[in-house]
Amino acid sequence: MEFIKNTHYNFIAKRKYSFVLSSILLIFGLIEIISMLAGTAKIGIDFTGGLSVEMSFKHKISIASVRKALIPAGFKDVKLVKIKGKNDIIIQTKAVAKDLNAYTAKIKQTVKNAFKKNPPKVISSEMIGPSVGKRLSRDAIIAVIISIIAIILYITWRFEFRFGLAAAIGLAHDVLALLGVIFIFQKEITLLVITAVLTVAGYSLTDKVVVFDRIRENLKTETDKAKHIDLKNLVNISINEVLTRTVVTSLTVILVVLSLFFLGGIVLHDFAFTLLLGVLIGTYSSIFIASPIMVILNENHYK
Amino acid sequence: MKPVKTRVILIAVFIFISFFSIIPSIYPNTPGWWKAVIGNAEMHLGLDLQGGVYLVEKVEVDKAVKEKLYKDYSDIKSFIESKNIGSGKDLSFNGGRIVLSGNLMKSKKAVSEIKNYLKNHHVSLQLSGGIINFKPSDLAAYKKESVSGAIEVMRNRIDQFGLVSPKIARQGKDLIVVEMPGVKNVKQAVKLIGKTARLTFKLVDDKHSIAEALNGKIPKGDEILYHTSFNKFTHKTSKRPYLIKKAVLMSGADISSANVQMNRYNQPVVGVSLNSRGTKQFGNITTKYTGKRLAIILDNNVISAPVIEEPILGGNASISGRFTMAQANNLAIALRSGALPAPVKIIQNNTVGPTLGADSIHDGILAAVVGTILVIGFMIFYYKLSGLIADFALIENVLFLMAALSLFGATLTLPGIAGIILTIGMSVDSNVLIFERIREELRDGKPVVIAIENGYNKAFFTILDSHVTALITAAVLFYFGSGPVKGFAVTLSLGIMINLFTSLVGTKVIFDMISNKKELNKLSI
Repeated sequence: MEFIKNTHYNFIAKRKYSFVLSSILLIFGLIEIISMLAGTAKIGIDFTGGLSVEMSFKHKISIASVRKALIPAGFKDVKLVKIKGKNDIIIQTKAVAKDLNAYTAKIKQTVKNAFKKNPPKVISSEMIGPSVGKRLSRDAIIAVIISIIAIILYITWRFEFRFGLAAAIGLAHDVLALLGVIFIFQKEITLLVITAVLTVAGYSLTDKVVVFDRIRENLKTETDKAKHIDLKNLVNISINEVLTRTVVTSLTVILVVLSLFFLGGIVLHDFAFTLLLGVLIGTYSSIFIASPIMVILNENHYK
Repeated sequence: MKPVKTRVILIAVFIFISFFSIIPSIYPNTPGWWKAVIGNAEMHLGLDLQGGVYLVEKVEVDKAVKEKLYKDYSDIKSFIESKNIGSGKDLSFNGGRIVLSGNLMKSKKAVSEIKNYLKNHHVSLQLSGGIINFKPSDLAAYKKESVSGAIEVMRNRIDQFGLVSPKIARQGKDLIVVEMPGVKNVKQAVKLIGKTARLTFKLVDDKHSIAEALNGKIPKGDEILYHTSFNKFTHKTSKRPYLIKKAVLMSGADISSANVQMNRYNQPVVGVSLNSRGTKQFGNITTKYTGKRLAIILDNNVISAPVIEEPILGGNASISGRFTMAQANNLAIALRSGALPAPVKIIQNNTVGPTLGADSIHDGILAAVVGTILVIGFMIFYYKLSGLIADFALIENVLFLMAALSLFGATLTLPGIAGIILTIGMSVDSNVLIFERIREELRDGKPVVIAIENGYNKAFFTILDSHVTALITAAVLFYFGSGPVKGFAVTLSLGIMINLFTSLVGTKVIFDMISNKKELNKLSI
């Protein structure tokens, strides 16, 4: 079985289109980052804190049924905790600080309406702070920056500097473009989504190294003259040569992610969505962004 | 013929070890000796899958305020005495306030100098009507700070604990909610994160008799504190009283690091390094009081009271107190992460069910199983028999990863499971790389055995470089990340290393075994 055989697509020639597309995604990515810093982005309860309401029901109660009652009423990011040995449920949800009392009342009403035969009593209702320390976001950003530097160093050692730089630019592109997509779809940044973004960063790097590795190999067999005159062509050949692997690998990952997306239930929905787009972006950028950038860096170098 | 024996044995041993380590996590009735062999390591299910303990802790902010005022009181007193503004006896600490009396209150000059001093050194305090107290706005801020400080210290401690992944959040004004998965280790964890861990060094009063003090005649400026020890053989706790001078010579705030070391009797002790300020202070104390006994006190318990043999000027000290290994380790973590700014009290202690309903868990597991089957099926469809070999590596991957997570005592959450599933999707990547290379070689008309050999050789550096770059990212995330990011980095790095092994060794050996058995003219790929 083979999907693709002996392809000769001219990927590098398409870079104008891909650069335009990426620029648009990157702009949205920057908007997302700015709105995160400004505190206007959609951010999950783990980071913002919210409201915690403890309710005691008369009879047995399941988390699933409470979740089913709350979600249609517009409470999306809810955390539910059931206390063992009692019919008590703690509902944690994001709330806007201004209309706190109104919000509490709304939750109470929604739950009361849904469980008329099993009427709940509110035991306590209080504001809760974020469960993720302020350090986490700062540390994650520092970690990403340092790992980009470390990757440039490693790839420069194993390959050449232009490869390292191109891979790092590709990685930064993927993370930022993914944030752009998150902005466009107005997804909420939760701990899960952050995990997905970091996973994508790992995937995207692997993908770039594989493509660059083939370019490195082909460079070795070319004569010195041919190397610089026709790097575009050489890169194109290399991308085509590893195209099957690129397609097959992304396909296996996408198979898994799609099954998480369609079958994994509401909890894994955004996680799978972020992963799906991240894998697509990562694969796309190895071919259409990182490789052309490598060619451009080379052109400037030998001008 | 390719020698395969060593590699087959190696893989068999790994598979055996993996099963051995995973079973206690899955089967609760595993015999005790079995668990002991793997060091009682076990995978835990996270809050979302299994539930755990839901604690509400109250930060005793009033105590924090009082202690802060008492510390400031000592400062102000020594200021008054050193500048000859008045008599230190005219400044007292009473009912949680600092009270001026006698000449100190009458002298306008003294009052204005104290006011000046407060303005420069204790901005949050004010002097009015002969009483020094917090400014109302600063009092609220200080209380708020002690709660957020306590949360930060608790998080620090948990990060050092490893992969337990609890949740800590502030609730209302002075409450902290701690949710912790599992139940087994909770007691220890709660003890650790709730420990105030205030370390102080005070002098033992050797001049007065402890017996008289116990009878109620406690000398002024002294207190009785106890050293509690637990006898392993008689199972009795014994308390030994010490007569201690109240004045704090030094606190644990200047500790820069703490870790467990072994002393020459092979008993665990906690080695402490001090920062430059602490080194100087500790040097002064030990010089001044050579020959006396220095009590090391943790939260009002005397840990030990050694005689100062000689001045300690190097900034390193070790605390020995007949600890068990676990006790020493907990003490080191507590000292490293700093003291809680205020004591905490547990006011609510509930066991809670999984935060995800049964339906969500069911969905997640179904998605995982379907995803795995799809990948396995696809590999066989696309690479035939070779795909089956890759699938074997895939299953090995999952097995080894689960074993590693069990041995690390990791906490498995639903997203964690999703992450493992994702490594499945990625784990086939290495084999895809190799197979594509083999196909290229075959297309060039190379004989099967050589094509396989070349395929693995040519893919080797690609696989190595791509794995090492990914590993670098994971290592940086682990080193610089905190909380959940750290946990993610551990799973990721384990996955990468295991994958490197299974793809390069795990599948090659099968190809070698096949080609050893019979002449390969065709390869099902």
